[in-house]
Amino acid sequence: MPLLEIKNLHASIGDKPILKGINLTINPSEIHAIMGPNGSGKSTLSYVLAGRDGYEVTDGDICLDGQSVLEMEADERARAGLFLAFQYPVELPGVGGMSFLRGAVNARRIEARLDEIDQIAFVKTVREAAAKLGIKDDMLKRAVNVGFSGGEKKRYEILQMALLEPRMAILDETDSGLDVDALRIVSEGVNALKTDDIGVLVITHYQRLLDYIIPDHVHILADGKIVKSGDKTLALEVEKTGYGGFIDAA
Amino acid sequence: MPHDVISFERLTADASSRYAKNGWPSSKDEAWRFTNINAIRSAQFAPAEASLEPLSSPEDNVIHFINGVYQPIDNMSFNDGIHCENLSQNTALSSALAAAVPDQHKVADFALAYARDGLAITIDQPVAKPLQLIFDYSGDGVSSHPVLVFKIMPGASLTILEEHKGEGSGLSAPLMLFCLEEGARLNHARRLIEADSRYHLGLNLVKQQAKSVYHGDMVMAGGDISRSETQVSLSEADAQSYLNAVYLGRDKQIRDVTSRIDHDAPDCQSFQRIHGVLDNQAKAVFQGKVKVERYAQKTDGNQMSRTLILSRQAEANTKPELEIYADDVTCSHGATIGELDDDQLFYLMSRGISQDAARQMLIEAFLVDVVDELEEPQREWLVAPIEQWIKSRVTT
Repeated sequence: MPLLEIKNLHASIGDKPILKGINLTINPSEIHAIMGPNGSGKSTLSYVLAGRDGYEVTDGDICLDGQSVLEMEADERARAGLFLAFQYPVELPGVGGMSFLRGAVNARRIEARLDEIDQIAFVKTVREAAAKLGIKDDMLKRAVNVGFSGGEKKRYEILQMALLEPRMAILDETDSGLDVDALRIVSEGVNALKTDDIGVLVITHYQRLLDYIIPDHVHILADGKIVKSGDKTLALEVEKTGYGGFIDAA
Repeated sequence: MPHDVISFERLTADASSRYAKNGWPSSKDEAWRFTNINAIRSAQFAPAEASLEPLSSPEDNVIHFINGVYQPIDNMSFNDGIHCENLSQNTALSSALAAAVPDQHKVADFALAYARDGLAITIDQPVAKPLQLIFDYSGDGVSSHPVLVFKIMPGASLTILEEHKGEGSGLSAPLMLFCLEEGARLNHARRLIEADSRYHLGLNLVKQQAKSVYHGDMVMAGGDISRSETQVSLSEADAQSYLNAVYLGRDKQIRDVTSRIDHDAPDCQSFQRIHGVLDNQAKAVFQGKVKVERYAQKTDGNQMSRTLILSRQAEANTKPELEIYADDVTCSHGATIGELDDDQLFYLMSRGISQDAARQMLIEAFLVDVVDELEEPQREWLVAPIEQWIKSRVTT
C-alpha cells in the first residue's frame, strides 16, 4: 500500500486557489523531491499536508497509509506519523526544550498505546540523537528555538524528526539558511532515517540539497500543479536551465 | 527622617473622618476610571470583630491572620532578627505610616478607618527563613483591615511570602508599609488566591533609602474584583525596585494593577514587568506612573506590560504614564495586548500536541516568564497558583 497518496488535491487560501490538482504517490522507503519556483505552491502544499488552519481543501484527498487525513487536525496527523520540518521554525519563549520534546514524543506514544517514556532514559536518548546532529547540550536546555541561529533551528527540526520516528517526513526548504557543513550534517540526519518503511518528501527551491539527500523521484511544481516528474537527473536539468521551460509547459 | 509623632489611634481616627467625608472612589477619580467598584460600593460590609485564640504550637516565622486579625504577639515565634510589636505601641512606625499614607487616598482611609490594630515589624539582621503572612478570610459581608509596617534596618534582609486566601463574599483591604533603610533588601512575594466571590483592594507603600533593593512579585489569581496598588519612593541614591506582576481573570472578573514609582534621587533603577491573561468577559487595567524628579539624574526606569486575551469579549486597558523632569535618564515603557500566536500553536500541534495542551503550554510560558528568574522558594510558590489557574480554566 502507498504510504502517502495525494489525489487531485485542490486547495485555496481564502478565495485564491493555490493548489490546482496535485497527484503524487509515495511508497515506503522512497525519497521524493518537489522543486519549484517561488509562488508555485510549495509551502502551501507542506502546510496543507500538515493540516494547518486557514487552508481550504476544495477537492481531492490526502491519504496516509490508506486513510484520509482531511478530517484530522494537525496534531492528529502528527500522531498518525506525519512530520513537517518547518522552513521557518517558530520560537517558543518560555517553553523549555526538554519538556517540549518529551510532550511531543509522549503524545505520539500515547496514541500508539505505549507507556509514557521514562524521563531519565529520555534525556539520554535526546542527548545521543543531538550529539549526532552537532547539537550542544546547552541548546537542549534553552526554550524552543529561542536564540538559535538559522542553522541550529534546522538541526533542531531534524532532531525532533529523529525522536518522533515519523512514517512520513516532509522537509520544507530545509536547506535554506544552511552553510555547507550544516547541510551535510542535516542531510546525514535525514539519510539516517531512511529505513525500510519511512517516506520522505523534500520540498526545495534549489538542487543543492539533493546532492546530499539523493531522491528516487523528482517532481516540478509550477502554478499549483506537478508539471513534470522524473528521476534525480531532472533536478540537475533544473539547475542548468532554470524553471522557465517548465512553467511555459504548464 | 523625622515625622510628626502620630499615634495609631489618632491615625485611624483621622482616616475615619476622611472616609466619612470622602467615601469610596468612583469612576470620576482618574485612578479608578477603568475599575468599576459599584459592586463593592453598594454592598454592606461590617468590619471583622473577632479576636484570635492563641495557637497551641505556633510555627516559626508564620503569622496567621483571620479576617485580618492576628493572634496575640507573645504567642508568635520568630527567628533572630525579627521583632514584632503592636503598631499601637510603636509610635515611631505609626508616625511613619501616617507620613507615608498618600493624601486623598480613599482606599487607604477605608483600610485605616476600621483597622483594630496593626503589626510593627522590625528586621535588624539578614533573616534566611522566609516570613509567611497567611491571610485567611471567611464569611459574607465582612471587611478585613490588616495593617502592617515593616522596618528593614541597614544591611538587614528578609523574604516575605504573603498569601491571601479564603471564602465568602467579604472585602479585604490590606495596607502595608515597607521602610527599607540603607542597603536593606526585601524579597516580597505575594499571591492573591481568594475565592472568586471575594473583593480585594490592597495598598503597598515602599520607602527606599540608599542602596536598598525591593523585589515585589505578585500573582493575582482570585477574587471577583481584585486591585493591587503599589507606590514606591526611591528617596536616596542607588536604590533598586523591581515590581513584577501576573494577573489572571475570567468570567466577569475585574483586575487592577496600579503602580507609582517616584524617582526622588539620582542613580536609582526601577523595573516593572506585568503579564496578564484574560478569558471570557474579564476586564483589566494596568496603570503605571513613573515620576522622575529634576535632580534624579541617571535614573533607569523600565516598564513593560503585556496582556494575552483568550476571548474577544475580554477587555484590557493599559495606562503607562511617564513624568520626567531630569534630562539624563533612561526610561522606557511598552505595552502589548494580543491573542495566542497562531504560528506557535500550529508548531506545537504539528508535533502531535493537542490544541488544549498547546494552548496551556503557551499561556504558562507567557506567565511563568515573569517569575522564572526568582530564587526558590519564591519561584515555585508563585508558579503553583499560575498552573492551578491554567488547569482549572481548561477543566471548567
